[in-house]
Amino acid sequence: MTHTLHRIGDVESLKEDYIVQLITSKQIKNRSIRSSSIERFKFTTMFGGFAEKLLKRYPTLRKGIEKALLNYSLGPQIIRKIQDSALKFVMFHLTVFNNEKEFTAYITRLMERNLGPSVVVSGLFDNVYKCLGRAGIHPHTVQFSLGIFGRVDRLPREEILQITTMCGHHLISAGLTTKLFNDVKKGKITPERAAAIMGKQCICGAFNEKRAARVIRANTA
Amino acid sequence: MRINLSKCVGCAVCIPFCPVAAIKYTTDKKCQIDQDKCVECYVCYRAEICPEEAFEIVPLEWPRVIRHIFSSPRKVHKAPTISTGILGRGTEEMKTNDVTNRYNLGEVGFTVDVGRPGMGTTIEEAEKIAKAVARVGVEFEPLNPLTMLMIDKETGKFRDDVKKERVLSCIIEFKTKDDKLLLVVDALRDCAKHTNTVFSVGCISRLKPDGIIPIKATLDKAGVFYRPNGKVNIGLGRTR
Repeated sequence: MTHTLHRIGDVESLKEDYIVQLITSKQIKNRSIRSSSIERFKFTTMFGGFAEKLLKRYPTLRKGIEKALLNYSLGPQIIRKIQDSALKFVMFHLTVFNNEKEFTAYITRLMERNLGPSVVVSGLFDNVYKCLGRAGIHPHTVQFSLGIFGRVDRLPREEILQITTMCGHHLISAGLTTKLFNDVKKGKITPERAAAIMGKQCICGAFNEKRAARVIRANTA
Repeated sequence: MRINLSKCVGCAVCIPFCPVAAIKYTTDKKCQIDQDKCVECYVCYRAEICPEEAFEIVPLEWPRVIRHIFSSPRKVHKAPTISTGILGRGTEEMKTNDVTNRYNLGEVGFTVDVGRPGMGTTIEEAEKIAKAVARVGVEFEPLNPLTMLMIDKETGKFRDDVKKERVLSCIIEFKTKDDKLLLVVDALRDCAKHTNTVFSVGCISRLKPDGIIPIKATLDKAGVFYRPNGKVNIGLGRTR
């Protein structure tokens, strides 16, 4: 999927927008990160399903568990293997960061833990390379966006595209975005509330609500 | 997807949510979905915005089910004979290149996201682009749901029964030798003059051991625009 490739915005708008995606190749093992962990744990369908629902219902809890499992390694090797499997079950396939420090810390931990899935990061190339350098990571493959071709005359205005292109599968409509911009201008809702409504339509998690709120605020002042 | 007119009260709250503006307010003061424009993405249904719960999922037959397959990220791709098992429109592309070596040195990969951002496309429009790049001499990615709809991978021709189907977007994925990079870009620029939609182009390159990106110099020398932001596979994947 190209979903985090074509995010529109200038350097200023994009400099606090990093996305990290984890993916296990189906060509290698024919399974996702989560299903391989389920198999390793030999979860029953009922328990695995229950855990999935619980984590989905409480994303803050999930974030806390992920952070703990990622940053604190238990001692014995066998326990660590179980911990790694649990981590792969819990961790978000896609995480958005709003600053270099947290982004760098996360990818550094991923490198140290050596969990196995491929890791793809999205952001301004200059900033990303700087962070990779700090983490001691050498990039393998890059993907450039050559921009939009065709009937660009029919596209909405730039500030709308800055929002809609943040959804990995473009599920946030230009119509909804325009309406919410207008609601903010009229003082009906805050930029943060508008960003939350937009973010609810994005189901892959690539949408950066904080950046969206900044864009809305900058264009409705 | 359809709106149950006996439940619809014409509040029109749903109209802005559709990514392709397929919901219209009609003269009988109800909302209706333009079934030709609708890409079966289910955004309207998932938004749970209708106070009367008037949105109803309609079982989809072939070829209309193509719309849902390509437009809903929650739908696992199952082509008639082969399945990628991938959610959404795409494939692994460069995301797992550190373990699959799908794109090697000396090659350049392309992802042409037809209909993106937010305009949608028919498969017929995607075919025009596929045929144009096929003439340059490219290798379409076999594990790509759109490639699976081709009946001739040498020419980029698609099966006739899907061409009129409309999707939110679909990705033409292919690779070629890196000395053909600019020929592909020229072919895409030419397509751009004749298309009814938009398409977003991605360009993939493996890095050399010294960190040099082979295609960057070619793009810079030819003055080809690329965005300051993009994607990087950071090489942490392993096969076991």
